[in-house]
Amino acid sequence: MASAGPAAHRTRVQVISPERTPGLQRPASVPRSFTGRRLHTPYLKTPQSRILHGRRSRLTRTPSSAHPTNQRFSKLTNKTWHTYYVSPLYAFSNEAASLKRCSRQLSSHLQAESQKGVGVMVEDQVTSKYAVFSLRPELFPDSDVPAVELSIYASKSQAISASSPPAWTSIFCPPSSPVMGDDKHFSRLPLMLIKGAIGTTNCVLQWLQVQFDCCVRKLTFNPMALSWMVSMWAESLPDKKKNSDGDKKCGVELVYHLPKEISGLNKVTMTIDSRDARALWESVHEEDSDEVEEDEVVSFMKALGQHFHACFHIHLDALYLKTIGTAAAFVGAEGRLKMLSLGEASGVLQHLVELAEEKMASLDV
Amino acid sequence: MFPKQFSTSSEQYKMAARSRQSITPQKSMVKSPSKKEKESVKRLKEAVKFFTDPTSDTKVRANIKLSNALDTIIQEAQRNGLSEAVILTLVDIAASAKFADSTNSRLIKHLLPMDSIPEDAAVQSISWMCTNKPSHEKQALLLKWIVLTFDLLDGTEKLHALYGIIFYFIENDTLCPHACHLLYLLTRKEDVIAHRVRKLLSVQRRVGSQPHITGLLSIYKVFAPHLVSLSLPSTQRAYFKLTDRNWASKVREARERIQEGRPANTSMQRDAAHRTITDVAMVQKRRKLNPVPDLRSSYTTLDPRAEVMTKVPLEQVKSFEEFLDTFDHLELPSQAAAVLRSPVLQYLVACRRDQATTQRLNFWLSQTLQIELMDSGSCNGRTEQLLQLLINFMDFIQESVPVCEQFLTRYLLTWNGHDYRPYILKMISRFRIYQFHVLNDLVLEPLRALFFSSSVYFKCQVLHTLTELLRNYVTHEISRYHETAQRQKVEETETLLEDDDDMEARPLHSSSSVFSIRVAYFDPMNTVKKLVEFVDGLCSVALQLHQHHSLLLHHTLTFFELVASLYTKHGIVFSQMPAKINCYRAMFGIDPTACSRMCQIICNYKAEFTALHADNDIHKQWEEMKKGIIVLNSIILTLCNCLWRTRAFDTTMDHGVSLEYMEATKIPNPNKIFSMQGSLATVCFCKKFFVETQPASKWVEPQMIKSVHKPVYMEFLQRERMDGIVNFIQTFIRRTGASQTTDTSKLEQTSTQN
Repeated sequence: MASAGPAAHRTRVQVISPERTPGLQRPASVPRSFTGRRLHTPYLKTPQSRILHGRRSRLTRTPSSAHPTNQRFSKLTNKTWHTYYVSPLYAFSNEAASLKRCSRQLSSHLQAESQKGVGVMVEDQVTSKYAVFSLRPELFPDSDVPAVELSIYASKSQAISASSPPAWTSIFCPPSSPVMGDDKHFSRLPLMLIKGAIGTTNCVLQWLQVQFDCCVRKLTFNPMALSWMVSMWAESLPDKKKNSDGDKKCGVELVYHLPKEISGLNKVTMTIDSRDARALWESVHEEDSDEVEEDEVVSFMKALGQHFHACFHIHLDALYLKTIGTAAAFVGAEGRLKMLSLGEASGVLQHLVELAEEKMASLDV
Repeated sequence: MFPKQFSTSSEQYKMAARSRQSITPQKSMVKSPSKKEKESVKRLKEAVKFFTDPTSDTKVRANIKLSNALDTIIQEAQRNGLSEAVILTLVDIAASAKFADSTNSRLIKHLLPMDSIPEDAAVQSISWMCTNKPSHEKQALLLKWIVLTFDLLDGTEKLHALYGIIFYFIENDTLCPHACHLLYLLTRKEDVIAHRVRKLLSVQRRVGSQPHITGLLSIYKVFAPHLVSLSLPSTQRAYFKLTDRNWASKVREARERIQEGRPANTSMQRDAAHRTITDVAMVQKRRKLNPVPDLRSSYTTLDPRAEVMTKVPLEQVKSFEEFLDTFDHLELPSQAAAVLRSPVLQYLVACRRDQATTQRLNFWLSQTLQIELMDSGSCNGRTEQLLQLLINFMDFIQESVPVCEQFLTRYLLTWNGHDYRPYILKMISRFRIYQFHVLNDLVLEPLRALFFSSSVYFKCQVLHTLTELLRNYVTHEISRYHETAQRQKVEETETLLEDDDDMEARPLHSSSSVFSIRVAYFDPMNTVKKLVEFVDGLCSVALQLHQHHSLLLHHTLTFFELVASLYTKHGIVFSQMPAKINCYRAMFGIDPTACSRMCQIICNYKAEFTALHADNDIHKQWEEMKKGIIVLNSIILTLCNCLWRTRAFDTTMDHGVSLEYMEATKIPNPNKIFSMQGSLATVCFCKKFFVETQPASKWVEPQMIKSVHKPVYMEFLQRERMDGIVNFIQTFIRRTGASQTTDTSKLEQTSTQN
């Protein structure tokens, strides 16, 4: 592969609000007469490009001021997502016009799918399904590529007023590190989180595959990957405010499925108090090190297995690890994810992105 | 091109066309008849005259003249077809509603051409339709006629110019299905405009989801995905129903008759354009059977302003000439992997060498192969189809797809040697050249593990694959490697010189490869050499394991036949001899063909070394060659001693068995057991030779063929197709009268000289 140039640095427009610039100070209130009619003052209507608030605003404030770092994942936590990995998207563009066009196209595609055989004019106002692509740069502020959110609303009015949550949502997460390769034609958004009806999912995925010549497949996790996750996140403590309402979510949970030949017992659920898990992890993990080593993971899982065997005489090694739960996230082997902690969400997503990239490692020829 | 004003004032045009027609019929009528058919032509002429005559009686009942004329025309149309002029005249008559409707419809249904239908006839019928003189049913019939005989028209340019006019007919419920069908056939990219889409959608809203409207919309969607979205119901079988089977079959007969007369031309392609029944159900079924995406024109850039608008979608291209004309503007399908389906598009990929396209293909292939082969458990036909398409593609571009190699190296580690065997082995034989240790780790080692744990037939397949791999290396890959490496070096120096000025990544363009890949620097000849050694080793062990299995021996010999011709046929400087054990095994076995082929291989080696010696460029490597020559000479000596001189164990021979050992076995005349007459392999020929030459009562034994008889015996062997043995003797034994000396001294001399 030819060597790539430096990743394109996206310049972020810093919006300086007029309040901070003394020269352009605006009067605190627009002068109005008693009748409420606008007076003829030198102050004209604010051009659309400079409106800061309201739905007509095209600008967003800098993420740091709008969302405190912890809160940026508040929309993603405590919901069950399905994880998918996405091969590089061909001819996908982050530009507003292009995203708008995609939104329109997808809306009409969804409508056409809902009534087979009936054509839908792309330009027309679609009533039943409304898809919106939007950039979410605040989710991954360190990345050059912003995350992309795709929401599907039941109607356009709902989408505009944001009165009800979208019927279907998905988040495309950017890669963990800039990859060498053809950046001009391909956009890399390796991880996709989806929440919504399976019918819509299939329909959207099919559209994505045709539209951007990519492959979207379910990201599943084998027992090894799950053991890594449980080891990495075992020491995370639940959010403080969540601590009160659910005690089930506090501990570390491992769900094992039994081989089919064994009757009478379907699954084994092992729950460990998060403090115990933390203590165990600290005993195997080298202190002051951010790196997680493979032998640490192995010995952690082995210790859990030995403890379980001592209590119940069941070898956990012989069973299939299907679901893990920690204070940071619940992850199911078949590709389900529920993040529980705002603080840990970034790390969880980062890890999943890496797994998705690993899944496609062979792609970079 | 058809002038625009005609499409607006069709009445005028019709008048003009009619006045033109009034002259032409007679002219062409005169030249057509041959003597035999004069009678029928005359009758036809009269019949046409009856219709054109303004004074003719138009009533249907009890009008013998009318029915006679009609019958004549119908008969002639079905037998030979009508000439262009007659068709033009009759279209005028039928469409002008001069006669009764029943007459008109019979006429229209039998407008079958002799050779082709003039486009003007179609244009004329459209213009008559605009006058609204013919009833709606007749108008529908006219449209149906154009649709049915669409591929018999001599052109579609003028008809296409009337696109806007025809589009208006969709408002009429009777005409709508046929108009939609005709438009479906005529539509080009530039015809799909927003207001037409809107109109069509409003008609659809009014009449509901009708298959013909869906059909037309589907082609609109293909050409303008930014305007319209549509998804086809899975129950839909055909867009356009074939209502009149009788008529359709008559048209088909006429088409067959015409095609018989014509030399093979592009009419096949035109027929493909007439793909009226797009079987949606079949497409869906195929998708289940075949993972390769369908050929669909591009959706990838929805920006209507972009230069994409100048691109030609694949659906519009209907013949190979058109394909060549639009080559530079042709649009790839939305999913690059669909090129696997289309041999035509593979030309495009191979010639354009667009890195983005190959990259798209790579991404798709890597995902799909992973899912189809590794994640799904059992063998299935769908994956087989995918692999077959992939192999076809590789055969076409004559190189392997890098991403497939990567996948294969992973897959081979877990391969059970059974799933998709022919396909996997075929793909292995297409591999690129790597350093030997890489190749060994990635491919040969897993293969070797399977090789020694499988049946003899699998072993043969593996040997065949490795032979093909070697052939691939010497024919394609070595030259490709040299070229790629050279270009890479040039680029590297260029980037060094250019500094940071232009850091933009440039694709590595190579004229010998569709894909741009980086290669490591190494000597490809080394890989070839080690590969031959590797196969040599495999063969000797496998032959031992399977007690000289003939099939295995056959594949071993095939491999060495290739090796022995590397220089003379492929220009590869090479001096690797097979292991002696393999030579002697073939020579001293019971298989006469193996024996003969081995002799031929030795002869080829000799020719190879002689040619190498003659080549002045190679003298530097001569030291290395010498080793090969020494081995060859000792083999030749041994074989000569065994075959010809019957001294197999007299002197210290290469095979390392001395006469004392042989005497211990109590075999009589041990020296003679490997001779040309008496060896196990040739004794059957010896017997046959005696049967032919000696009286039946005479007691015979192989030793009776003395040196005097040997020329006759050799002729006999030649007749029995034992060419190898004969060649060997002729090459290496100098026969001067009774005394025979070996010719090996010559080669020995050359080796010592250098």
